Parts: sequence; structure tokens; C-alpha cells
Amino acid sequence: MPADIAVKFSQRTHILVFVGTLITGGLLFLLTPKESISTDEKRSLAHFPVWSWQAVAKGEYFKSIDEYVSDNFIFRYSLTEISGYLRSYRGIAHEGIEVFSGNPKEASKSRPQEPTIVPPVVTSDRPVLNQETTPSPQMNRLAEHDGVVSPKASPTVSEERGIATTDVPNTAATSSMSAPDPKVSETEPYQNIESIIVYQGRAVQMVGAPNSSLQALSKVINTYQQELGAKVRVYFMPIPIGSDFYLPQRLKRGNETESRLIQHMFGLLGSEVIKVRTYEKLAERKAEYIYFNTDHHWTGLGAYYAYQAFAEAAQFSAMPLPSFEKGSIRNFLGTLYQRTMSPALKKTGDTVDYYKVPFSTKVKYFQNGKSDGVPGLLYAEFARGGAAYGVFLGGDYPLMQVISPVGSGRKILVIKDSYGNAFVPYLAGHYDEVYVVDYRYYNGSIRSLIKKYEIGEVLFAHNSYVMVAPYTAQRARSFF
Amino acid sequence: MVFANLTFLFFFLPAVLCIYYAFPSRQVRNLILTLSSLIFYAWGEPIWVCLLIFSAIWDYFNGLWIARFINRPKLAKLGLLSSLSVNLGLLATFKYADFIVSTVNVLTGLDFRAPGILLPIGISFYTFQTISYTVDVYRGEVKAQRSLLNFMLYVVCFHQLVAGPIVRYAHVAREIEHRVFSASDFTYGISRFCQGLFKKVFIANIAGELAQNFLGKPAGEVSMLGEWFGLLMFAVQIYFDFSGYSDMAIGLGRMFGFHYHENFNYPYMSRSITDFWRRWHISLGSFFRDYVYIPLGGNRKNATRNIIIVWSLTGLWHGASWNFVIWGLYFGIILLIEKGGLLRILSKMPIAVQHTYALLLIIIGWDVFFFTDTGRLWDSLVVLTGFSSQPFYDFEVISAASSNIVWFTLATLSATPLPLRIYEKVCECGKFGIKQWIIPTTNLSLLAVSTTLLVGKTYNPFIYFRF
Repeated sequence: MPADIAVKFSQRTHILVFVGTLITGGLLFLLTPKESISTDEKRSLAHFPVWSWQAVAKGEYFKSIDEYVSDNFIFRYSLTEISGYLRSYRGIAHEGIEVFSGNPKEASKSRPQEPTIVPPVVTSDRPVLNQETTPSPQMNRLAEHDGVVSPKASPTVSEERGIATTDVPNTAATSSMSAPDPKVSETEPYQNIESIIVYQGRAVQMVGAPNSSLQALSKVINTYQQELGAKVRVYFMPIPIGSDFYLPQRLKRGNETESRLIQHMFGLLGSEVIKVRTYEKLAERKAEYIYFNTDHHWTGLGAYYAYQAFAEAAQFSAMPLPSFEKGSIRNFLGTLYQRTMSPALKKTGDTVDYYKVPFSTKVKYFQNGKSDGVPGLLYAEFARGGAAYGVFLGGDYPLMQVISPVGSGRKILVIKDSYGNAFVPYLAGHYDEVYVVDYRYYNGSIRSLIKKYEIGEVLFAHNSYVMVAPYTAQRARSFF
Repeated sequence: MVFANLTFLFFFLPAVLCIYYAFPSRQVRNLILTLSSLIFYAWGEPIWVCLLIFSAIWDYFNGLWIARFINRPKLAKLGLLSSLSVNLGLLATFKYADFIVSTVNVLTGLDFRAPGILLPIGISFYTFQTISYTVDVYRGEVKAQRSLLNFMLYVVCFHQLVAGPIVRYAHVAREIEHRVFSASDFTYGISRFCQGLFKKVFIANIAGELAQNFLGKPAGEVSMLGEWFGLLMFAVQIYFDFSGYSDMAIGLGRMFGFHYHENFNYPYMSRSITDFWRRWHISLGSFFRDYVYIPLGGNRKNATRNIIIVWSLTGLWHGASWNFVIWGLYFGIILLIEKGGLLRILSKMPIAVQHTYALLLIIIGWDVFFFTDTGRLWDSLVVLTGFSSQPFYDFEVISAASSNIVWFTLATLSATPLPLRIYEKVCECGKFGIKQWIIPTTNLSLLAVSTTLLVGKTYNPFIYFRF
């Protein structure tokens, strides 16, 4: 072949390959099925927008198409993992520590969702499920596929990570929110609030907040205690997220942030509020598997030690660990892995262990504004993959009721975030009725709940991020 | 829309290329390119696309008017004035209104409400393009474009619409009417585009994150080395972001048969600030030279005054905030000093000293550029010079530097001509076959890595959009 024809041929091939690659990418995108929810990221994916002149004029329409394309792009998960690998080759982790600093812009753009496992039994006419019931074929089918459905209606605020500036959606659950407390939300930004540090195969979240950020929540809890009076015992259980436990001193610069925050919180709470000493208990046990390596939650074991601490405060004796039947869900890669895509974290991985109370309970959950309960589960054992933490209570519901045959005559209401899910099942061994309110989603009135069911104990169980976020206090005020 | 975006890469670009090359007629191609450019613009700016169209039509008629009365200077001047006043008026309203109001408030103690208009994308670029056109027609340097479609194409063409380079009408006038397809142009365009995309996604975006991690914090939380590191990352970000964008624009131009002028020439290889401004954002520098500096008298009359005016304006063009004016003046003053004799002294120094001198001043300039809050800027300068109580270094900066050392080495090398030179050598060496394979493979690899990173990260703002 003469040289100039060969050059021409190769140039044309080059053009065809390049344009062809772009076209193929586009076509594959159009032809592949789209997911509506990303279980790994725990958020709903962008849908193709509905046409309206208004949306176009605001620029939202085209922006939504961009989001739709990037959220549903072909091989998205694999490409994201590859970019995690590429990241790890950018240099050498100093002293084995990788720092992932969050980007506030990115955080506010994302639409995180807690994994909510909807038990496959959704018809209210079915009998209340005994939690020991063997999962129905329906459950198995769900478990095999994805096991997780995040209801669209659930609020999408990531207050779990303590961001004060999330774009709060107009959902029923958040519409009753009161105005932000200017003292804590505007003037004192959190430090390091979104930083994740990967050290020795474990992801550690950093909490950074001034003591003053605790004012709001402590005030609300004191009000609860005063107004509920002597008939109702109010507990506060701080849940450390492990910031203090797993990093070298040099990195922490000697700051035991969580310890400081919890001590300060205890000081702000009235003497009548019973303080649960979880921090000390967990600190003692930090060498055990009490926090996940790849997820922002604690493990069932961590929650068990908190339960021991709570037993001391509530004056009952905790059941020994061997008296629970242990179950395990393997191959769990949690949110912190999804966020960092760190190969080191993938290597460590996680297993979700849960400890089942040795008797049957009846569990119901209630949607806001509905008085009919829907049968729920204490352990959604079909939970798998990135949503495996959902095994505890099956996810987050506005209100749950756990009826247990212990006959102690005690009833408790737990106001919790998702850390509480791993903790609540243990209470079934000591309370006839346990009511579980998720502070993000509950829209009813705590006062009337206490009155209606004659509840004698109220427990606030909040992790450090939630404790310092102004939103927590706003919510607690709004549903009192 | 932006280039480093999946919708653009996998839908818009291939669709436009296919439709464009499906029609042999140049007029139809111009129409396709114009319409697709309007869609491209409206994608991000659905309302202000009207402003773009208005601006283009207005100057189309101004051009015709000036051409018609070219022999009657007074009437022709009217057309020029109409162009200048509308374009500068648009800029004043849409870009500088808030700045003007707040400055007036500070100076007079009054309390006018800022109108709070959001800056339409690319307005600084397209108004300058149309100004250059009418001035050139007035000066008789170019002929007025008779076809509205062809003129629209010059103004709105999506390659350079939102982030430059500022294309002179004279450079593309012939190609708007008589361009031909050339496979070698097209393949060159692919290479330039992929290189630009890679610079933007692999270097600028990452550098941007790192810069933000340090400069985004209050000065009281950053060590001295941390502040320097953040600043260095910003220097990397802004260069690769902007030059990557220019590469993509030039590459796209080639795919469609246009030859735009270069906008960057390894500015961090400069040996003086004078040199730097010949290598950085060349289309803007030459705009101010040809349309402001020389008309003011250039070197011949009031050179110092002219330099100060030009550089205040150059600064202000970059953003409606005082720090940009300071940034411009900073360079204006350095240029005056260099002109006054420093250049001569520098040229006798070892080359390493010249590079260090230029880079240091450029990087300090970026500090002024970065902080629109002059309070934080001052704090930053205090931290940088070691006059604060902040530690010399801390864990954060060591960790960030160490975990990006490989990437940083690549980025630094890419700011020099070395990698491209080696690449060209490799392509040229050996037998004919190597080049034919190595170039497409490299381009596809760059595209693959960029796509991977784009998918892996939603963080993708073009910082040059503010201008």
C-alpha cells in the first residue's frame, strides 16, 4: 500500500474508532435498563425529568438530564471502583493513613438515603409476623435480588453525618421543622465534619464540633424531663462513632473530641436525666469488633456493650451474650467504603453479626399519620450486600412497636438514629413494650404516645454527629 | 453544558458530528453548528441564551452599519459606539452591578440594594469577541459579515463560547465560509481534545479538591506548609483547568475544520512576568493590547498610566471583586518594574533564578486571585510568610503531599513541554506503523481514564465559568 493511502486509511480509522466509541457509549446507555435506587450509595438515582417550561427556564430540566446520565451511566459501579483504585495509586499513604476530605458541594448535591428494608409483608391484613418466622419465599426472592427497597417517600436528609446545610426536601417528615437555631447552625461551622480517615484497613469518621453545638439538644432533653415529670424516667445515651478510638495520637493532636463532647453534654443535662456511660464501656472494648471497618455504624457487638451500659443505668441485669442466637451476614461493604472506594477497605471488608433474643416478639411499624401498624421484623435476616446493616429492625421507620413476652411491666420509648437499630433488639429482653421513634421521620407527638401507651421510660440514643447537629434538637422540639 | 461531562461526550458531541458531516453543504453545516451551539448554551443558561442571541444580532447590524458608512467616519463611529455601549453595558449590568453597588455603598455610606443578578455563562468571552469584531470592521481590518447565520456562528460556536479562547473574527472569517474537511485536522483535533479532557479531569479536578481542602479552611487551621501546598494546588488547578479547556476548544475546532490560535504556551516555564503574560491566556492579553493599550498610546504616550489602566481592567475582567483588581495591578506594577530594568538584570542571572523568580511571583498572584474575601487573603499572606502562630507543617499537609506524590510529579511534568516532546519522539521513531497505532490508543486511553474519573466523581465544576 502506498504510504499516503496508508496514512489516510489509518487517519480515517482513528476518526471512526473515536466517534464510534462515543456513539457506542451513548447507545449502550440508552439500551441498558436503569435502576431507580442505588443500594450501595443508599440514595435514589436521578430519574429522567418531566418536561415543563418552568423546569426548563429554571435550568433544572437539563441539569436533571445530566444527573440522570451520570447516575445511570453504563458500568457505573465498576468505573467508580476503578477510579478508587486510580486514587490509591496517586501516591503513598503517609504512615498508612489515607485522608478523604469531604467536599461540601458534593455532599449537598447528593441525595443520601438510609437503607430501609421494607419487609416483603406489606399488606396490613396479614397476621403480625413472629420475628422467628421463617422468611417467606417472597422474602427470599427479594433477598436474592437486592433485598432492599428504599421507599421514595422517606426523607433524604443526611443529618447522620451532621451536615447543617443539607437541602431539606419537602417531605411530610420534615415539613414541621422549625427554624434553625442561629446560635449553632450559622456561626459555628463544624470542622472536619465530612472527613474520613482510612487507617489500617478501617475507615474512621472525624467528629469536630464546638461544645456550644450541644446547647440545643441538651436544652430540649431537659425540657422533656421537666415536662414529663417524675412519672417518666428520661435517659440520655451518647453513642461514640469511634473517632477517639482508632487513630494514632499524632493525628488526633491529643484531642479526644468525642470524649470532650460527651462529657460536656452530660454537664449540660439536668441531674434528673439519667446518663448512660456508653463511652467508657466501648473504650474498654475497642480492640473487639465493635465498629465496622467500612460502614459508619457500630456492630451488633458494639451495641451489646452499650446495652450493658444501659442495663446499669436502667437497673436491670443484662443478658449474657451467649444467651442470644448469633446470625451473620457476610461480605458487607458499607457506606464509608462506598464513599471512599478505598481498595484497602475492600480488602478488610465486614460481616454483620446480629444477636437474636431467645424468644418471639411481635413487631409492627407505623407510617406517619396511620394508626394501623404494619407487621415488621426485629431482624430482617434477608438483608444483603451494602444494605446488610438493615438487618437490625429492617431499617428506619417513623415509629415501631416491639411487644415482648417478658412480663417485666416496663415500657420504654427510644428516640434514635440508625445507630439505635442495632441496640433496640436487646431491650426486648427487659421491656414488655418497646416503642422506637426515628427522630428524622417521626411526625406525631411524643407526649400523646407516652400517654396512650403509658410509657414509663424515654431514652434518647444518639451518635455524636447527630448529637451536635442543630437539626436533631429542632426535630425533638417539633415532635414533643 | 460543559465539555467534561458525560452528556456532552457521549450524546451531544457524537450527535453533532454525525449530523454535521451528514450534510455536504457548508451553509447547512453552518446552520447545524449554530443551532447545536445554541442548544449547548441553553443547556446551562436557558434564559440568557436570549441575551447571547441579542448581542450577536446587535453587533451583526453594527458591523453592517459601520461597513456601510466606512467612508463617513462620524456615522461609522456611531455604529462602533453603539456596539461598545451595548456590550460594555451588558457586562456592567450582568457582571458588575452588585460590585458597583457595594462599592458605592462602601464609599458613600449609603445602602443601595444589590440587584443580585447571576452572571450569565461566558458573557465575558462573547462580548469581547463581538467588540473585537466591530472594532476591526471600523478599523477596516476585516470585512463585515453579510450573512447573519455566518456571523451568529462566529459568536455562538460552542467550541469557544463559554470559556474561550477569545477568537478574533479575522482568524476564522475565511474558514466560516470556506473550510474543508481534512482527516489529519480531525485526528489532530481528537488528540488535542483528549489531552485537554485529561488535563481537566485528571489534573485540574484533583488539584481543585486538594486546594479546597487547605485554602477552603479558616487560616487559623492551616499550617504554613499547608497554605503553600493549597496555593500550589490552586496554581495547578487553574492552569490545567483553563488550558485544558482551551485544548478542548482548539481540538473541537479542528474536528469541524476551524483553526483557532493557541491560548497558552507553557506559562509556568516563564522566566519573567513579562514572559508569563505572553504565554498565559494569550487571546485575552492580545485583546487588551490591541483594543485598550495601543489605542491609549501604548509605549509611546503615558506608558505607565496605560499599563496601570490595562492591568486594572485585566484584573477586573476576571471577576467582579476588588481582589481581582489588586491582582491585575500587582502584575501591572511588576511589569513596570521589569520594564524599568529588572528584565535586563534578570537576563544575566542563571536560568534557575529566573524561573524561580517568575514562578514565585505567579503563585503569590494566585493567592490574591483565590481569595475574594480580602480579610482571608491577608490572613493567608500572613500564614504564607510565616508571621502567624500556625505551625510550620502538620499531619494534613504531609499526608496530602505524600498520598499524591506520583500524581503531582505527573502534573508538574505536564506543565512543561517535556512529555509531549517525548511522546512525539516516540511517535516519530521506528517504522511507520507505530505512530498509526500509538496515537489512537493514547487518545482512547485518555478518554477512558477521563470517563472513569467523571463517572467516579460528580465533583466537576469549571472554575473558569465565573468569568
